[in-house]
Amino acid sequence: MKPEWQPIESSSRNVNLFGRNIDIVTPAGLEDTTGHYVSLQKVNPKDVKVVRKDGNPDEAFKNAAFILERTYSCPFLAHSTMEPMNFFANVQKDKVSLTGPIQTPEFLEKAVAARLNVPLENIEVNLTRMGGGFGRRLYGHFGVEAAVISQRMNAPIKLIYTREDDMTCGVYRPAYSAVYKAAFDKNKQLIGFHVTAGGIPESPLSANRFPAGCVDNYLAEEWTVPSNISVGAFRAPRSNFIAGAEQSFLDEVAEYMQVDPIDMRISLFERSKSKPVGEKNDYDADRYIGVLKLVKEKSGWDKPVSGLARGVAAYFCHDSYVAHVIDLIPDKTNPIVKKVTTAVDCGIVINPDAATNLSQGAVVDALGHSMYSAVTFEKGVPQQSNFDGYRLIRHNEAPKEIEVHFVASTVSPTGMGEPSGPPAIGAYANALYKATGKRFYHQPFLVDQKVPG
Amino acid sequence: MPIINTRIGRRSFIKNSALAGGGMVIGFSWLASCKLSPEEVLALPKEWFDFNGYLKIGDTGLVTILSPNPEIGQNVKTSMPMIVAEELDVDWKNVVVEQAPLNTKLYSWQIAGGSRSISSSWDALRMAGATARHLLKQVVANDLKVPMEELTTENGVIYHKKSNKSFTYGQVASAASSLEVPKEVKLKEVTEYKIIGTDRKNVDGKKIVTGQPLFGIDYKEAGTLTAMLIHPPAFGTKLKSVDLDAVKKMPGIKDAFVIESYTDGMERQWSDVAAFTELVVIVGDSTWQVMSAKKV
Amino acid sequence: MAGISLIINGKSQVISADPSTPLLWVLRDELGLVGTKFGCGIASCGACTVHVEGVATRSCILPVASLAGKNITTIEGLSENGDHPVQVAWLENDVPQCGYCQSGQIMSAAALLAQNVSPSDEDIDNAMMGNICRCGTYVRIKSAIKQAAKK
Repeated sequence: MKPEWQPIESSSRNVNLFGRNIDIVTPAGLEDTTGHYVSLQKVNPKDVKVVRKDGNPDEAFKNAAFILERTYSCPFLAHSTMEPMNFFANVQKDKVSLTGPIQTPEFLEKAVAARLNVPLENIEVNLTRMGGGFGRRLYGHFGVEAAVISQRMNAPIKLIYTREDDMTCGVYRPAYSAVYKAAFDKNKQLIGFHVTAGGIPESPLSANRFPAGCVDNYLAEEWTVPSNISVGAFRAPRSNFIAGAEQSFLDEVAEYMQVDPIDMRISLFERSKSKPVGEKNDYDADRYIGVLKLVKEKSGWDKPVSGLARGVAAYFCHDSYVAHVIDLIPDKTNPIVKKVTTAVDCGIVINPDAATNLSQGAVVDALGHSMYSAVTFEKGVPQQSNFDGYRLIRHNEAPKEIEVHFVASTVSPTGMGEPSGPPAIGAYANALYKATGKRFYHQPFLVDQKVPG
Repeated sequence: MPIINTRIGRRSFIKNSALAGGGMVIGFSWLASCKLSPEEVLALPKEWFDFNGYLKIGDTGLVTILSPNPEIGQNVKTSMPMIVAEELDVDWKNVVVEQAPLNTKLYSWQIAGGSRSISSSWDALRMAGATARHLLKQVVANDLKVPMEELTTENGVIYHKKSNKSFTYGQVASAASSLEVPKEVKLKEVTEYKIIGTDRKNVDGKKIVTGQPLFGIDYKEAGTLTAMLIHPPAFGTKLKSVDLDAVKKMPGIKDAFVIESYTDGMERQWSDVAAFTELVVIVGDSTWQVMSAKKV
Repeated sequence: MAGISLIINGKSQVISADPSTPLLWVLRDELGLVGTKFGCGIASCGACTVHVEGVATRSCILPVASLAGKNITTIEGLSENGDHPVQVAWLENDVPQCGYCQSGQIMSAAALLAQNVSPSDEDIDNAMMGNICRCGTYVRIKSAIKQAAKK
């Protein structure tokens, strides 16, 4: 076929975001991972925007007896649903029939109506069980493509992506970076907290989440770098990076303060209840404390098993609260996850065993990606195109046991599918530190960095 | 007792009602053979009565509950119907679950995203079950000329303890389905739950472990052709030229051409994310033939 | 075209597809046995696992030409009523999330148990590491295999 390709020009397009019109800019150029890391590390200060500021962080950092500063990053990820993108379309004169795996059928219907110029009433969208979604099938371009092809062929068609098509066509989890700084007084008390986070092409920051509201002097800033690599929501978007970074940093904060990491978090939450800092604090301190106390009890935190290295983390997203304790078997090359103890507060649990399964899966998903997975680029070309190059967690690498506990609740149900993932990365990184004596800042943790014994 | 406003009207039900009957649509046979072991379940009804977009009750008392949201493995196809069944007060073993198609008039937030399936439909699902239960009880109250408060329900049966009478949902479904929907209905207290909070197996479990067609990639209709794409190898590039003459002559290949998936003027949704919009398409009879042609 | 004859789920089938066609696409496109899944096309994920003469085999890279006269079992033929001990254990442990990889997982597990009636954790890992579950049901799969082994 000898296809030839040519460079794109910079462009912008307008999209309808739930009724709000926004412009998305696509720059020209061939990007590569080396360049991405440079732009993640050398952010121009004038591109950084303050999102939240409480108290006087400048003063706190100026007067600090000690400042702890750490940088975290993660790569682009491919969703890699086991069922590759596909869709059935049958476009007839007065009827468009679409059947397939789509997380946003309403928006697919609108897009097909606009593209084929047919009324919405003439379109039916039938939903099939999906071989995974993880956010990838929110973006239904494959359904639009199927409809355009069916119209052209004047026949029912099924569009199927190969794994290579699927993995190299974009809609990736963005690459992110975050710099955390903590200011301490001479008594090792936390007096200031500063996070600057950004990504290609979006920021992972949720400025009003913990530890906002718990620290007198708090500054949250963000920045973005435009890219022509398409991105999309990936299970627990943004949280899937920032939770791990924040929770790893807090582990170092607790270590410096020489306090127990669970007790430290609980005392910060207690403080936010009695004397909250700022106003729009996006969490319920009691529910956060609830999962921390539950995981402490269920993991036997106070009676650690000798020979195991353990880490803890907690996070709030999708209106739910999750805490994990992870126990590792220390090993030079292959630190096995012996056990994950999980506490979840998602309000009323509809189907406990199924919710347990989902929570276990979210842990494996998050841990696996933080250990092994990355999409890298050279001259715009993704360097991984199938499961031989793009590594996903497998049976022998998965936690041996994941024990999930739910907080008894009569609160209306909140999110279940996503919240268990993000904090698992923090608990894992913190356990890795205990297992190896070394902190892990850059994902994937286990690919470029041999874990020393 | 929590009270909820009934917001969804009846009988605007199911844009794609043909789908509900099964027929040629493989993978969508609505009678889920999902039970672990053969249990005594109610007989297949001769007639179904629509109560709202979420449920219909058969003349035998068997209940079909429609799960509105896309199922991606988060198990909403089991958990969402559980909520309807709870408020309807039926035995879960007499519930058949069916995947609803897209219907923006009947359902809100038919999206698998943001971990919001359950929370965004929590009220609607409970309301759907509670409304139907109210109407079923109303029929009995009218017949016996007794106040609604004297009636209780359990596992698909309405009891009037004072007169020692009972009626199954199947017996009164026809009459109930034509009653007017009240403005508000009572919901159960959390402490009264019998299904919510209990372990229920995946309604598609048996089909999954026996390899039945369930997924999009398994679906086709008579005469369906297979299509595959070629997109640019690098982000930041687009198609310049391609010669499709040889490909078109390959065995089993029907056609090859270039499409524009999104056009410049069209309104795009937030979900219309695509780095590559000019794509080479190959269409043929079978997957392997098209896959082989892609490599030429 | 001289058709190749295969024995699929105990039934002799004459295949009309080109002999270079991988078994996966013959099963899915020609025979309508869609329980065997397409995941990667390079034998890296295990979604397409079937039994060839009882051995767990990736069907996505296996040309039908190499299979003349061979006994092939797919997920649809693993048991008559979906009651193979592995299938039963899968249901009792409510293993599947999305479910897409599970027929491949079940075929790998059934082949393992046919050779090894009481596999250790390590045996299970070794037999199953070619099967990716993107939903992360690994813990439950292991429990289900151990439960099935007891039967």
